[in-house]
Amino acid sequence: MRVASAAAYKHVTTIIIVEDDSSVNLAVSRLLEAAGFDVRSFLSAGALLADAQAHDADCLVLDVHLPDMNGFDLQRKLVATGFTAPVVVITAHDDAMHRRAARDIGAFAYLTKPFSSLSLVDAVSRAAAADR
Amino acid sequence: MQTVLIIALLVQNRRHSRARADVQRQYAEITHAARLALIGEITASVAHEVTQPLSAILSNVETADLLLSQPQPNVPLVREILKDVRQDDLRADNIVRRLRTLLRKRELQLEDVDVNALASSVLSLVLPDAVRRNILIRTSLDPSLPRASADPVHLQQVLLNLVINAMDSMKSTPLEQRVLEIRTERVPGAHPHLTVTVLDKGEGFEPAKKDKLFDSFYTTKTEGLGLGLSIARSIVRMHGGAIWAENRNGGGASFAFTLPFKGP
Repeated sequence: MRVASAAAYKHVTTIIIVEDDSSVNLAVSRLLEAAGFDVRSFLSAGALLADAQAHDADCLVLDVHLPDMNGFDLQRKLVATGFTAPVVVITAHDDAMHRRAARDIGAFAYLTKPFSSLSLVDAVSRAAAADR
Repeated sequence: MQTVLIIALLVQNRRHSRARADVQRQYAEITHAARLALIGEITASVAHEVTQPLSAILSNVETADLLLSQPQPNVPLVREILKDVRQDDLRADNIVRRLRTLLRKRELQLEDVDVNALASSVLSLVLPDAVRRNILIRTSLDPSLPRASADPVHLQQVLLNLVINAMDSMKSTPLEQRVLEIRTERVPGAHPHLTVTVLDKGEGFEPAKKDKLFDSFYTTKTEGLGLGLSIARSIVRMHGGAIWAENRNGGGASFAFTLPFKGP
């Protein structure tokens, strides 16, 4: 199901997932792959930042509670390095502070776990389309 | 004259017992509020933990559905997904079980606790870890410390939390400066209490964040949910005490809490 390489086929939409819960990470990756996206997943902010190819992505699915830094700080770091793909925030801990932070970083969508597959696929599709 | 005296004594006695009843009621109210706060902490933590497997299950089930609706379904992948769904279900069940155990222990079981002995036992628990991390342990335990009316299991949890935080904070401290100290002190006066202080030579904390240190989900650590200090605060308040943090002159932080005791 995985499409060879996003660089080789420009029309393929590449989604990056940063989620430290390995079950959720795998489940969301499978879902987006089944929906036809090219998916690259990371278990921590550091793992993504260390990856030079991260800049190819069309959309970023970011968990808030990451082991090394929160998803919002990660997004700011990425923007500082010139990476401006739209962000879909996913979180298990929904509160006003997180909602505000998501608004502040200009997140494309904010989904609280457990979210329906439809809502994630829809948010990611629209975010990636907006990026073009 | 004697009758007047007896009546006066009776009135005084009634006043005293009313005052005692007030104090007891206030104490009950405070401990009730603190207990609710503790349940709140635990619930928030459990809700967060349970949501992860629930979220994975939902995504997996809907993905399986999507796969099966394709003309040539990838059955091995669907099987793999079902295996993960089962595992996540068991994981969620495990979390709920742990919650039950926690709530069963929730009631405070007050005993006369020798806090100095408790501090020593906590230090002996962490000693191997401290040695491994090159941390020198010092104690300054007040020999006149009265016994406190406390739940030793909960109190141990508070102390252990403060000691582990103190050790964690010294990760970047030069080896020869890594000192952890526990002090106990009897503080007489209108509100007699004992104070337990855990001091480290670590990074300290940003003064602006002082009020946030004890909030749920606030953490400076790379692992952990940020519940240790908020649970510690709930437990200390449940005992009628207070907990706070200070940066030390010359580096490091000190975390102190109080426990009231009866008598002078």
